[in-house]
Amino acid sequence: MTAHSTTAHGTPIEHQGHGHHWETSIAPFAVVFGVFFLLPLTFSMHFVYHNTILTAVFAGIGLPLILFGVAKWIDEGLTQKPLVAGLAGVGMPIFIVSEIFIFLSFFATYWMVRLSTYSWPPEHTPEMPVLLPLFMTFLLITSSVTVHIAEEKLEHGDLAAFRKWLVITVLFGLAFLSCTTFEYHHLLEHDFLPSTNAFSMIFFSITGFHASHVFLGLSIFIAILLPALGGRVNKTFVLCGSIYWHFVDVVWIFVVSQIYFW
Amino acid sequence: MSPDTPHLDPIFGRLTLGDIPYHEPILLITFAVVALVGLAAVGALTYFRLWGYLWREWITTVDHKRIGIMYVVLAIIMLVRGLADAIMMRLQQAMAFNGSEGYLPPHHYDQIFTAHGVIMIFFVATPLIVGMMNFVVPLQIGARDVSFPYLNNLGFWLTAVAAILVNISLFVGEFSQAGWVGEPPLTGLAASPGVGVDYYLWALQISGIGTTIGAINLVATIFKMRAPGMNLMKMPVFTWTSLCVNALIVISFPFLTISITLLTLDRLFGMHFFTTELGGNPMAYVNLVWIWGHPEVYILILPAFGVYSEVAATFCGKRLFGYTSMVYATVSITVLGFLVWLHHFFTMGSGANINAFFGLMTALIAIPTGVKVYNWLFTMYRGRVRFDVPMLWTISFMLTFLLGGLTGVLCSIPAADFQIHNSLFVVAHFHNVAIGAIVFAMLAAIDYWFPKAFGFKLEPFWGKLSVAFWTVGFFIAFLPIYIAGFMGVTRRTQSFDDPSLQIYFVIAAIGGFVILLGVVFFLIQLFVSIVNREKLRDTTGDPWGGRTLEWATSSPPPAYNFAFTPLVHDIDAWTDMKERGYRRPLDGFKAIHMPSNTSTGIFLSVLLLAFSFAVIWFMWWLAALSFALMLVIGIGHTFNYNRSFHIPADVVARTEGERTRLLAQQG
Repeated sequence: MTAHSTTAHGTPIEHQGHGHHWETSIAPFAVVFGVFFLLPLTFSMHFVYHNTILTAVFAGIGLPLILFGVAKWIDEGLTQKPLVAGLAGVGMPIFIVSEIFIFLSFFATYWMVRLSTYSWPPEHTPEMPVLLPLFMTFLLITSSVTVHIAEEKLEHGDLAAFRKWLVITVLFGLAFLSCTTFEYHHLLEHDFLPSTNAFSMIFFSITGFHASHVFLGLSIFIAILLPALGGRVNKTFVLCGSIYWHFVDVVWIFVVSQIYFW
Repeated sequence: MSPDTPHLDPIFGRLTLGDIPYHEPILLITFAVVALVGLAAVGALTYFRLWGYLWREWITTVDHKRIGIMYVVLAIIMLVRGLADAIMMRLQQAMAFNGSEGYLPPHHYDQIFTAHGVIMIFFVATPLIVGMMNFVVPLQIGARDVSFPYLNNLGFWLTAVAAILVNISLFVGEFSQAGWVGEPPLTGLAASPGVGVDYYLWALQISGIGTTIGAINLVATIFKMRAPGMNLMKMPVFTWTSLCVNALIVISFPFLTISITLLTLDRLFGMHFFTTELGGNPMAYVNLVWIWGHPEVYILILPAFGVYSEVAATFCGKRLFGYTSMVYATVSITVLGFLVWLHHFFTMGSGANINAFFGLMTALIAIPTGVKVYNWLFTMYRGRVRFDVPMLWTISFMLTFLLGGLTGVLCSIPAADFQIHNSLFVVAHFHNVAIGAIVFAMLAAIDYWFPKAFGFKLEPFWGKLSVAFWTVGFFIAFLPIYIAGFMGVTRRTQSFDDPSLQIYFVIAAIGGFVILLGVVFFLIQLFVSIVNREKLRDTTGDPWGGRTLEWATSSPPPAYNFAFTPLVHDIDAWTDMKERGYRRPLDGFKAIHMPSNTSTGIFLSVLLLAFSFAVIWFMWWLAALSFALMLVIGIGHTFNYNRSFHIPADVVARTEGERTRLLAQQG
């Protein structure tokens, strides 16, 4: 497995010195400001003051800021020359294995709760949408295809096409998150809160957890995209990002079939 | 945050003066002792001006050897606490007969058995094995460090602050009274409205994150950083068991994470995952937690098997018998470990077929385990056995573990389990395995690798006494428990009605004190050895005639472990090198690229401690503040672009020159 050169870490020592391409970072500030705008202000505007315009304003400032900040931060962390090459490509799948079992335990709880209840869905469950989840599935599967095309373009050295297909992927992902937001809003309006009944707690915890994964995947893509605009691409990072995205996609198939269509 | 919480103090949340148990003399004395020892330690550190050294060389280190040592030190400190809990329980159960309530009221006794279980599993056994793997694995595979050194430091400090959180609960508020797996509905808000369960949940959550981080790290390390020539079937057995264990952690800890996360959601946000209202199902928690809990048993015991394999091969002076079968046995235990969790609750009522399946799977594990025991026996057969302390632990283990393994097979039969479920028989069984296999292995490992870590051997006399007292004490303490359990005495009982049972608990208490002497002798052994360290000094780096790569470098190893990466041709790589007349290279040293220390790990962990303490007590200002500070510290870390450095070639040459001089002195 390790047929590398003579050093213990499997790679020759690189004297890269301190000439890194980044030394200071705006990203963490962006995240902090985003979190402080998004969490307290948006939520209090919505839930306490019921002010739609200010909610939209704060969410509009906060959400892109966080996306940008997280993306840039991850990019900086991962594009840095690592001490040992090729480790990310191993660490990522191991992390995903762990993630698979996180989702599996969510589903196991769902199955146990559901199979030990007499009637499903339980009382106070409003009519669940049917077309919307199908549309969301379409969005996510398409995005998996587009990210694959982007990867192929990168293999062929076509950077412009790579960027184009990555942007398309990000747009699909954003559309997916918008659908989630729309749906949550709709359900909360019908008094379907996380503590309402057995289905609501399952619904919000599983779809919410999945949405946070979509969010992280998008952040990774934006982290790839920003330096790619300047012509700089880390192939390991692209590989990790797309593995993660396919994983999020596959998990969604389980989510949608288990939560909406069973 | 439950909306019906009455008048929260804006600063202290729900913490009031009444939550400080200053009226309980036992806790007051404990606090006084802890405070005095703490003050003495702080004073000594200040007097000898060691704070800077401690900070630079240990607290912020990313060196896998030092992190491993810190894990073991943490485990030994927590072992003392866990053992104190055990002795208190033994005394209580020996006293509480004939209408006497003993000296511990139920409220206190229940916290003690919960804390004992949590501490022994999460803060003694787990840090011991993680520490050993951290220290030994990179050395055994000929690497310079683990693959993600910063994560290693973070993982250790997360474990440490989780242990601190458990100990805070001793003096501020209370600990959980619901047993070490915390099964609802007893841990639900209705039955446990206090902070005890919250302390339990947050301590487990933090230590679980730390353990998972460490496991991802070690799997990547073992896959990617082995020395050239070391393919999978040439890895030392301890590294093999470490690989399987860390794979188990990566797969099984998510189940713990999710089960306690959902329970936290239940308690904080009024959801109903594990209540019986609104479609919740407490058995979902029990299933989830045991899907983690049973693999956890193998997580703890497989490294123990690895230690015995290394020790048996070294001290019998021959290659391990049946290396390949040992590897296959390890892997099959890893896989089977996931198919047995239901045997912890055969009485749930899942039906004869399901119980039969899980019973059979459990009994099947006896086969690979038996293979291992025979392999160790055949390694000893016709070997030139040296009865040093690690080997004595191994022999003691084989005798003790035989009893534990056989009672395990007995418990795996569902029909028998209906009689002994939740009885002291089960308690005796898992202590038999936990002490007889895990603790003995870790004490053997400490004896075995101590010279590698510190450069001098441990005094064997006190070590042998420790082996004797632990072994004898174990049998005195737990054979009566087996008998009482077989007669149907339930576990976690605070007082008894039937006076004929008292004799068993009196004998068990005596056994507890014999074990306590075993621990005392172990601590004396450490102390005496440190005092006599010059006499016990090991200058060769290979004091036992070792067979694997960690013995190829000096004791203690230099920061970079190996000046040149060794080439591996055989399972027992170091023996092979010695037999082929290996000569250390004496020149041609190059600068070595190493990771830099970082203080981010400890800062983030301490802030997470503050955050969890705040959430437990509803001090929302502190939660917000510590959360914001965690972000700030994260910012600081991104500005730190100076994450690695080179050890210059002349420093490497000087270090290696020193070793050459010592080896020449040896003759």
